[in-house]
Formats: sequence, C-alpha cells, structure tokens
Amino acid sequence: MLLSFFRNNPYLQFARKYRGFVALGISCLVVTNSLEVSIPWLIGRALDHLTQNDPFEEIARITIIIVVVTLTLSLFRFLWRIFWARFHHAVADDLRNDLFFKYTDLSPSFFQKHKIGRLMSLITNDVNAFRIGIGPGFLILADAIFQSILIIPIMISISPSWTWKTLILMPVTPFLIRVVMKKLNSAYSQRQESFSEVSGVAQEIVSGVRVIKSFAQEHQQTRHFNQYSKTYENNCNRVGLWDAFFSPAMELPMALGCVILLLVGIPDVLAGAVTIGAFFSFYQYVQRMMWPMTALGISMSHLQEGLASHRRIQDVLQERSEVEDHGALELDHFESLEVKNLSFTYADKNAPALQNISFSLKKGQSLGIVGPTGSGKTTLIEMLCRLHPAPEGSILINGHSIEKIKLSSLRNLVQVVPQDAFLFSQSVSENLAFSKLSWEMEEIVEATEHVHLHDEILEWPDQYKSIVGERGVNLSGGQKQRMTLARALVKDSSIAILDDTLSAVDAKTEENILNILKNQLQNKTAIVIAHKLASVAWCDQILVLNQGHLEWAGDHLELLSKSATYNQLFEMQSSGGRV
Amino acid sequence: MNTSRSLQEETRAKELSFLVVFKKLWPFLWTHKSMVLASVGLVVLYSGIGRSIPLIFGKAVDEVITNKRLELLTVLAGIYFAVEIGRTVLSFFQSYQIQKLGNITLYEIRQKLIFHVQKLPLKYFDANPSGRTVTRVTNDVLALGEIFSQGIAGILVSLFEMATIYITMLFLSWKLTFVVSAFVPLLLIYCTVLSRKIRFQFGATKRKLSSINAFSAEHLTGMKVIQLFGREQTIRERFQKLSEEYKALQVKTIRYFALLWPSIEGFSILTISLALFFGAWFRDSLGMTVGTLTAFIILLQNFFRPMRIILEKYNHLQNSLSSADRVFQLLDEAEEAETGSQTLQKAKGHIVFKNLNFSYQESGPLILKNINLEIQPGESVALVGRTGSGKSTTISLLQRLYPYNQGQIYLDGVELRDLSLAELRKRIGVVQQDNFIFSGNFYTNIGLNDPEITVERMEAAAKDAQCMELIEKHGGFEGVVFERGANLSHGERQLLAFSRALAFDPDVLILDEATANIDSISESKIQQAMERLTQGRTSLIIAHRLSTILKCDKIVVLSHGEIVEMGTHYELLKANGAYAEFFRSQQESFLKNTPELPAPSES
Repeated sequence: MLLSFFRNNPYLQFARKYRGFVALGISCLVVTNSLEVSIPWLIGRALDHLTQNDPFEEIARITIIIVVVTLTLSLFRFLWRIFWARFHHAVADDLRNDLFFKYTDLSPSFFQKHKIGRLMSLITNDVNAFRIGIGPGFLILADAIFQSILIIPIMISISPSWTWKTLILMPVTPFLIRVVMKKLNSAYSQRQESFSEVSGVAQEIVSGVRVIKSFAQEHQQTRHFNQYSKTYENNCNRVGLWDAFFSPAMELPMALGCVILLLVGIPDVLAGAVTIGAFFSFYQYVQRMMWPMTALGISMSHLQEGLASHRRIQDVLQERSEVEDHGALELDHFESLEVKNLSFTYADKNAPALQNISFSLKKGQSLGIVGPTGSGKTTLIEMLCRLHPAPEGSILINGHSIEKIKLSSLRNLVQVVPQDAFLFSQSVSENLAFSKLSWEMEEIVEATEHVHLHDEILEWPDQYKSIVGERGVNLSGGQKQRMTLARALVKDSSIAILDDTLSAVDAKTEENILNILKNQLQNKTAIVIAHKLASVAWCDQILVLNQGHLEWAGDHLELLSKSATYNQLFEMQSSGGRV
Repeated sequence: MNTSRSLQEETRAKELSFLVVFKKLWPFLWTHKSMVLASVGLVVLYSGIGRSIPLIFGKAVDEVITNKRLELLTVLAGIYFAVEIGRTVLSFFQSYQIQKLGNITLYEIRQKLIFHVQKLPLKYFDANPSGRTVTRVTNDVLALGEIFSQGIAGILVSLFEMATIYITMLFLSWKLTFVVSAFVPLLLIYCTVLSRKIRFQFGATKRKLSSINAFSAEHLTGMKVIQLFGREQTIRERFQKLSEEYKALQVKTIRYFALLWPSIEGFSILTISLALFFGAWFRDSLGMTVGTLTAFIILLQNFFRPMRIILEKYNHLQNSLSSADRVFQLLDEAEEAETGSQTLQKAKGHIVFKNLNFSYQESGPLILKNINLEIQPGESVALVGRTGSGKSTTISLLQRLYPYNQGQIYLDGVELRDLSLAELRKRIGVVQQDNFIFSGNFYTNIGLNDPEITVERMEAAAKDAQCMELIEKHGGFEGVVFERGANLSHGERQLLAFSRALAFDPDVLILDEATANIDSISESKIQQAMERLTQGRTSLIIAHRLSTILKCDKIVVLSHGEIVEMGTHYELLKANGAYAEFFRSQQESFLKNTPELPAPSES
C-alpha cells in the first residue's frame, strides 16, 4: 500500500510541480509547530516559579518570552496558510482548465454518453475534493506528524511512564474518526441523492404548475413531494446521527488519558519526582495530542476522497476524441463534395444510423434532405462537418478524404444552422458574431435584416446589446431560429447547411426568408433539411432518407413520380392545409 | 416584477442579520416546543458540566498536591471520569437533538413552500422565470438547512460555552477576570472589521463559482455549436480567465482567514501570560492558590475556541442568510384569491361570457374587449384568430387562471367567482399544445397520483384516447416516462395529455392548439382521440388545422381582443369577411412556396 502510494501518486506529482510553495509552507509549519509546543512548557515553568515563591522577575521574564514567542508564532502561522493556499488553489485551477480544455476537444458522442450535470460536477465537486485532499488533507497530515514528533519527546522527558499510560488510548481516535468519517461520507452521498430527488420533484411541480392548477392537483402533488421530502429528512437525520459521534470520538480517549494522568501523576508530584509546573505542562500536552490523532483520521479520509475524485477526473482526461485532428490539409475554397457508401453506427446503438449513402454535390448546387424523424438526416450533415468519425474515403471534399483536412479549415468552409436553436447568454450582437473575433455592426444588421429580425431587435430594451436568455430577453422559438440563421449568415462560408431551420416561424415569414435565402445562397452551396417539402422543393437535388437508407435521390418532379415516401409526405402536406 | 430588480436581488452582497432570519424561523421552530426545550436544556447542561473540569483539576492541585490529601485523589479522579463520560453522552445527544429539530422544521418549511408555490397566481409565473422559483424551493431551502446544521447548533453551543466559562472565571477571581478582559473589546473590533471583509469575500467567491457553473453548463450544452463555429480557443480562454479569478478570490479569502485565526490564537496566549503576570504580581492581594490559577488558565484557553467557532460559522452563514431571506420573501407572496365556495356536482356545460373586459396589468391595454358569447351544453366552439388576438386569454379566464374584474362568466348559471377554484378547475379539462409530462410512469401521468382516479378509469381513458399502442411500446402502464416526457414524441405526449384529460372526466373541454405541430403519423390518432373526447361535452377549441375547425358547431373569430365574426365555416366563407380572407391567404402560402410545382390534381 505504501509503495502504491508513492508510485504515480497525483499528490506527489502536484507537490513536485509546486515545490516552491510546498517547501515554504512546510518550513513555516515546522516553525509554527515548534513554537506552539513550547508554550505549555513555558507556562509550566512560570507555575513552578510561582509555587517555589521565586522572585517576581522570573515570572515576568517568562511572560515576556511567551509574548515574543506568540507574536512570532502568529506570523508564521499566517505565512504557512498563505503559501499553502496558493499551492492547492493553483492545483485546482490547473485541473479545472485541463478538464474544460478536454471537454472542448471531445466530439458530440461524448456528450451523449455523459450527462452535462456529471461533467460539471467533475469541474466543481471532484476538483474541489482533490483540492481538499492535496491542500488541507496533506497539510493536517504533516501537522499531525510534526506535532507528534515534537510533543512526544517532551512528554517522555517529563515522565516516560506517564507518557505511555496517558497515550495508550489515543491511537483509538484515528480509527474511530475514520469509521465516523466513512459513515458520514456515505450518509452525505445518500442525503445528496435524496436531495436531487426532492429537487427533481420540486422542479417538475414548478414547471408543471399550469397542469397542476388546471387539474386542481395541489394537494396530491404536495403529498407526492412530501414522500421525497420525508426520505430526505430521514437521510439528514442519519448525517446528524454520525455527526454527533464526531466530538465524542475525538475527545473521549484524550479525556480518559487526563483521568489516568491524575491518578498516576499526582502521586509522583507528591513524591517530589516531578514539579507542579511540569505536571501542568504534561496535562496540556495530553490535551494537545488530541488534535494529531484526530487529524490522522481526517486527513486519511480527505486523501482517500481526493484520490477517488482524481481517478474520476483522469478517466475523462484520458478520453480520446472520436474525431482526431491529424489532418494537415488547408482548403481555401470549396469545389465538390462526394459521399461514397457512407455508413455510420452510433457507439451506443445497434442499428446503423446511416447505411451506404452515396451522392455528390458541386459548388453552387443545392441539396435538400427529407425523411421522417430518426431517418438520419441530422447525422448525415453532422458527419459532413466531421462531428462524427467517417470511414476513410467515404466523404471527399475537393477530392480529399475528409480526415486529411485540418478540422478548423473544414469547419471554416461551412456555415451551419443547427436543428435546436442554441444561443449563448451573451448579448445579441455577440451571439450573432459568434464566428468572429472582431466584427462590424453593418454585417450583423445585414444578416438580421435578411431574416426579418432587425426591427424586432430594435424593440428590445437594449437592442443589439440585450442579453439573450433568462437574465435578459426571452426569445420565442421563431426568434431563436432566425437568430441562429443570422448567426450562420454572418459567418459567410462556402457551404450553408440548414437543419430544419424554419419549423417555428409562421408560413408568411418562412416564405419571405426562403426567398431571400435563395438569393443569398445563389453563389453558395446549400444543404437544406426540412420537414415541409415546400422548403426543399426548389433544390437541385433532394435526398429522401428512410431509416438510414437513401431511398431516392432526384429533383422534386422526379421524386413525385418515383418515391413513395415523398409522395405520401406531399399528399399529407398539401391537403392538411392550415388556417 | 421587473427584471432589473430581481437581478439586483441576486447579485447584491446583502448583509443580513442572523436575528432577522431567526425571528422568521421561530414560529416554525416553536411548533415543536418540547424539542426546542430539550435542545436548549441539553446544550445548557452540556456546557455547564464541562466547566467543572478545570475546577476539578484546580482542586486536585490545591487539595491533593499542596495540602497533601492523597485520599481525595481517587474521589476527584472518579468525579473527573464521571463528568467526562457525562459530557460525551450529552455532547452526542445535544448535537443529534438539534439536528433532528432542524430537519423536521425544514421538512415543514419545504411542505409549506411547495404548497404555497402551487397556490401562487399564474401571473407570478409569467413574471418570474421558473428557474428562479425552482432555486427557491431547492437550493435556497438547502442553504436554509445549513443555518440549522451549521449555524444554530454551533453558535448556540459556543455562546453557552463562552457564557459559562466567563461566569466560572468570575467565580474564581473576578478581579483577574476584569484584568484579562480589558483587551477583549480590541479583539472584538478587530474581528468585526475582518469578518466583514471575509463575508464580502465569501459572497464574491460564491458568485464567481456560480458564474463558472453557469458558464460551463451553457458551453457544455452548446459544445456542438462551438465546435462547428471553431470557437474552442476563445471559449477556453474565457474559462481560463474565470477559473483564474476564482482562484484569486479564494486565495484572498484565505488571506483574511489567515489574519483572523492566528490573531485570535495569539490574543488567547497573550491573555494567558497576562493572567500569569498579574496572578503572580498581585499574588498576595488576590489570594489565588496555584490550583485556582491553573484552573483559570485552562478556562482562558477554552474561552477563545468557541469565539472562533462563532466567527467562522457566522461568516459562512451569510450566504445561507440571504437564501433564507429569499425563501421567506417567496412565502410572503400573495396566493391566488379564493372568492367563492359554491360547488357543482356535475356541470351541464352551459357557458356564458357577458360584457367581459380584461387586461393583464391594471390600467394596461385591454386584451379582451366586451366579449359576449353563449355556448350551449354539448356544443363545440372553435376560436380562430392571429397570435395575440385573445384566444388563449379567453380560455385562461374560463379556468380563472387570472382574476378578472369587469364582466361576468357563468358556468351553468353560476358566476365563476362564486365557485371554489378547485371545483371549477375540476369541471374543466384542458389539453394544450405543449403539455407538461411528469417523470414517472403512464399511471402517474394519466391519473396524476389523484386517489379518485382509479386504475380502471386510467386504463379506459388510455384506450379511448388511442394511447394503448404507445403505452405498450414503452413497456406498459408501468413503463418509465422521462422528465418532461423526453422519451416520447410530440404526438405521443399529446395523446397522453388526451388520456389525462379523459381520465378526469371533465364537463367542459378546452383544446388549446392541441393538434398543432404534430408529426403526420400521429395525426389520425389524435383526430380520433379528439372526437372521443369532445363527445357529449361542451368544448372550446383553438386550432389552426382546417379539419379540426370544420368539425366544430360554431366558429368564433377574434381580432385584437374582440369577437369580429361568429358562425359555421360555410356561413363565414359566404360572409367573405375576416375569416374568409384569413383562410384563403393561409391556403395559398403552401402552393406559393413550391413554384415549380404542378397542381396536385395533375400528379
């Protein structure tokens, strides 16, 4: 166990990295400990002078020494805290950044596999647990060791037999503390779990309040909530129970040591073997030994928790992106896209999402993609942007296999409007200019005018400076879609990809936007996914996807005469007319 | 509620006194009188009994050593032992008792809060983002809990300890006690100043942590967009900056703490040397024995530890205090006013709107103007109009989700305000465009845990609403339904909402765009479910789909809050008014968008 502790131990690795702060912190700690330990001895000396009726000057001298020692002590105690804080907070900062950097490197499949909440908890809770391990955990271990090394010899010098008799129960403390901490930690995590459940129910009640009111279910829902709330209360009580054991576990062995000291020590004092002052000092040292013993228990627990968290962090840091950026090719323009026998299966699924898809697209052409939900439309365009790995040679751009192209260069070629209109809680203009480091207001306004958003933005309280989201303007579904559309327009790349972008705007607006886009896209290559056939009917080529297969490819008229799925969709959409 | 005020409320570092919050908490606590008294009793006993230890030690020094009465040693050691055992037991029970008291109190606060939230008027939810309200009932209540587990327990015990220590010191030598306490005010001032800084720093650190959380939550969710737009580097730099700032704030907080603790400890040792110095100087006039002096020193050593605990807890608590404050503010929000108590066993479904005017804000623009409408029992009425014409408001008022002051609405001849809210709403069933689906299974979603809705009723409702196929697909009635129905398609959620409405067997049915945005596959099922649901019930239907509107007995056209036309589809088309125009323009838009398209009949 000891060996494995030193080999590849992340604590030691970080300590080596920040050895300056560590060395300074530990040195100051040693000074602090030595000074601290001298104080009971000094008080004992003063008491001896007092009992022996020594001249007052002797006592005065000692009190002055105590004052000097105390001031020095306080200074060094201040210093080690500062050095140590710099050390472990720097470690936390490192890990936070490592994690976040990793996240930005990983492909969408990673985010499908892991819940966002858990990934965030790594950044906050696990990093913090490791910080507590390497910071306070490591430190109090050092503190405990130094204090014991300093105190025990002094105790032995006063009386070896008192020492073993009073300290014999003390080693129980670290074990008791370990047990209590273990129980506490499991109680904490249980409490946390039931808290998440309570929160979940509360969240549903608040979000579903309209339904609850409509069905007059307030009492039922409260009863439902109470069940979870009660479980949470019980779990809180369990934490309370083990927490209440903490002080006794810490204090009782020490207290019994004090009782033993009275019984064995006082006869020796009476016999004249030890002075009253030394007896008092010894009493104080017994009490002081409580902390190192407790600290051993606590630090072991912190260190272990920290290691467990570090393992979780490492698991993510060692993840490899499905899409690795090894390509060196930089493209400055788009000529052609060719997809050859493309198949793809998501890692966590059995059925392939795409099977044997082939088609090609030249500069300036437009491509429509239709098909029922789950037919692979979005997967296909995500593969074109290399968000998922494609088999070598199955996607070629300008004749080059896609993985040979530098990722940033590839993505520079496309302006994508993703299906879910995701915006950041930044200002409207920052969102629109997301693709740029610096921008001109005109290019943004031009884009918003194209999507009929400019006038609406001017009505918002801070216009283009309004913050998007809960803390600012809440946008409707249609507004969000038009924002993401404008964001892509600002990017101005060779290929425009629209993934079911106009589902939430009304028919009139959609028509206008489509007309403008068609003009806009004239010198661009366009790929448009849509549910409404009207949105793709104008394309040079339309793919009909069904369960990952390419059912038909062709233009609108061709498909009407050949594709059953296309015909079915057409029938439904032209007869179901909306008012 | 304007946003700027609420924003302030969350970002401001608010100083709140513990006492203010405690006063609000007290009524909740006092419902458990016996537990409160037991807790206080245990705390007093625990800290009282602890004070005897230095006295016993002093006695041992004076009587056994100085006066050489060895026979007293076993007695004193025995008492010491007994006291320590007693202290251990009391320490456990006082701590556990306070926790239990806190936990039961919090349970009751949670219960009160969740019920209260459901009773808030819809207006409240319109004005406050739901995220904020959720935070109140979850995280803020959690923080409130810390006031118990950390605050009250720690602070109460420490206060009693300090008090008993001081009293014991006075009892040993009041003169020496006064001498050593001469400098305490200085320490207090020092600690207060430093504590204020620490609290401010704490607040800033906490806020920075929430920015980090918010930032990572948002950017992890939007990672695809970031990668597609090639913004990874910018985002990393922004995160790096946040993380760095957070680190700096934490180090700064520690610096203040590092100033606080050594100072208190140093001060503690200084007062001890003061005690030694003066104890020796005035030895004869004070008449203190060595034993008394040692007891005094031990007491002094113990005096500063609780003080340190109080400061620590208090500083940490500042955050919980503002959370607690927000919880109590939410509890103070006015609930929906219950104006009537009349009940209806079963409504025939005769509805009359009479001279109804309505606006959401007092003196705001009128959303509904002089609405007069009579709906016969069993009749189905379609409400048609553009977004913002007042359709949804009309049906919200029928459920009294908002209070109205001008005009009347009658259900079976009873003014809605004379009915109890729960009664009224139970008579009316609603299916919306986006229906909230709860996590759980199909039973809990159809019956909403209402004991009146039997299993048979739920199953029959599911069958009638064409829901059986989807339920079987998801593993039967006990099959898992995810949060917000994430594992169901839009159409499936809609069917489930129909079953829910059906299970509650309403007398009046409201369909608010219940058939909009549904994938074509589910559409025919929804049509069937809707027909089953409207059978024999008075129904108000807001719809865009022509096929739905055509099935209604009457069409009411709303524009800018007024009824502009009323009649059947053919009557209205013939009248060639707003409805006819609206109808035609929408019909054409589909065709216009497919310019190369030959007429459907030709293909």
